[in-house]
Amino acid sequence: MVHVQIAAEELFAIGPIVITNSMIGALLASAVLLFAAAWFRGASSLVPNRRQALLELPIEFLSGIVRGTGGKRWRQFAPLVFGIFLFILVANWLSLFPGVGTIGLVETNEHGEEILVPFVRAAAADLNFTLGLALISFVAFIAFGFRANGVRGYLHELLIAEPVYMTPLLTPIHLISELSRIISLSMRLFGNVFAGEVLLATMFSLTTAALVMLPLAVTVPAVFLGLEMLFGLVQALVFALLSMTYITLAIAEHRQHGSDDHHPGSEPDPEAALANFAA
Amino acid sequence: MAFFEAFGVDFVKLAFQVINFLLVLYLLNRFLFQRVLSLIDERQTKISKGLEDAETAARDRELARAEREAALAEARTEGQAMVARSTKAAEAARDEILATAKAESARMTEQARAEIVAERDRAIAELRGQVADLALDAASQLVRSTMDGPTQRKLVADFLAETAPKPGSKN
Repeated sequence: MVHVQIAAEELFAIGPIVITNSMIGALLASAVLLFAAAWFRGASSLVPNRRQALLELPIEFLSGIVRGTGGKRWRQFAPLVFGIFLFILVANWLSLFPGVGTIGLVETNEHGEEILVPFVRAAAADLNFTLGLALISFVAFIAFGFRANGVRGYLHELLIAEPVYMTPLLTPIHLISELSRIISLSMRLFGNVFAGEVLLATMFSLTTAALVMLPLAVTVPAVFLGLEMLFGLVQALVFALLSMTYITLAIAEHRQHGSDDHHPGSEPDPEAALANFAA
Repeated sequence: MAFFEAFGVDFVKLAFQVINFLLVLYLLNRFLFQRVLSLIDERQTKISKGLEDAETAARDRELARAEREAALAEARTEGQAMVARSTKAAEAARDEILATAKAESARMTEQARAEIVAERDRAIAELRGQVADLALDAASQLVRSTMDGPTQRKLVADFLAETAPKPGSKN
């Protein structure tokens, strides 16, 4: 029987910190990225070899989008966009490795059923991970809005509608819209990755349910694993590009009000970013 | 709160994920992103400079080619002028040599002719003397008379003067 728990399973505790299997997934992703960064630091050169080019590829690709959309301040928030993308991508792809979600301890739950508690779980299949990233993204675009617009200017933009008499109606909508970004970012990623986990578990269960189905146990999950690789990439891109869009919008509000920072040629265009992504 | 409980969200786990990500982001930014961005900038600068240098080199090459062609054309013109000058000088020298040779030849011819004439005149004079002597001998033998020398010589000279060719006639 397929059992995928919504909440990440707790493995052990270090003092007050309870370590879950999704934390292990996040730590593994962190280790992979830090290892890559350490290797790059020592081995990179102006003329790249294949491995260096492979590592530079996503950053160069994203930097093209961020540079084209973010205007003059793109370098300030580009690392956040790169970091979100790479972290989610590596975490998603690591979850497709054999053993992730399938090797663990068999325990009995409160209903007396035997369940598998895997040692490693897809990091993004835990709302703590996606919510944490969404909160960071939220704080970042508010901070960039403050920085570009000033605290008063940003709050004025947020709380006072145009025309002013529409404020009682529009301000709550505006606030909800801003706050909903946390929910939309976190739940989209969590939902997609968790659904992918469920889908894969279901496919494994279905294809291994009977002896006659066993030949399908190789081919069918392989198709879905390929799709999950694609979805993992798309979800990482969507999260990163939406974070970038929110930040550029926060900066753009400042520009639209005619400040010293106004550069008509470098107006941010979230649509252009998404078009670039689609291309 | 029940919603968060259902999804296993709690503050400590959330804080762990946030801190973990921020730490990784800091290290990645320091050791990877900034390095990659600086490499990209460096490459763009180098490529731009390379293209600019290539354009400058092409311009210089074109300029050098034009200069070389101009120098070649000048050298060719100068060479042709030198050849023309040399030809002219050679022709002048040839003409001068020819003229000198002709003059020398004419002088030598004239000199030879004068010598021949002098020789002929001398021979004629000598011959006349011998003829006169022979005539005197013959006459003395014929008339068997003796005459003094100067009278005889005067008679012979008068005879020869009468028989000598007129000036302007050819001998």
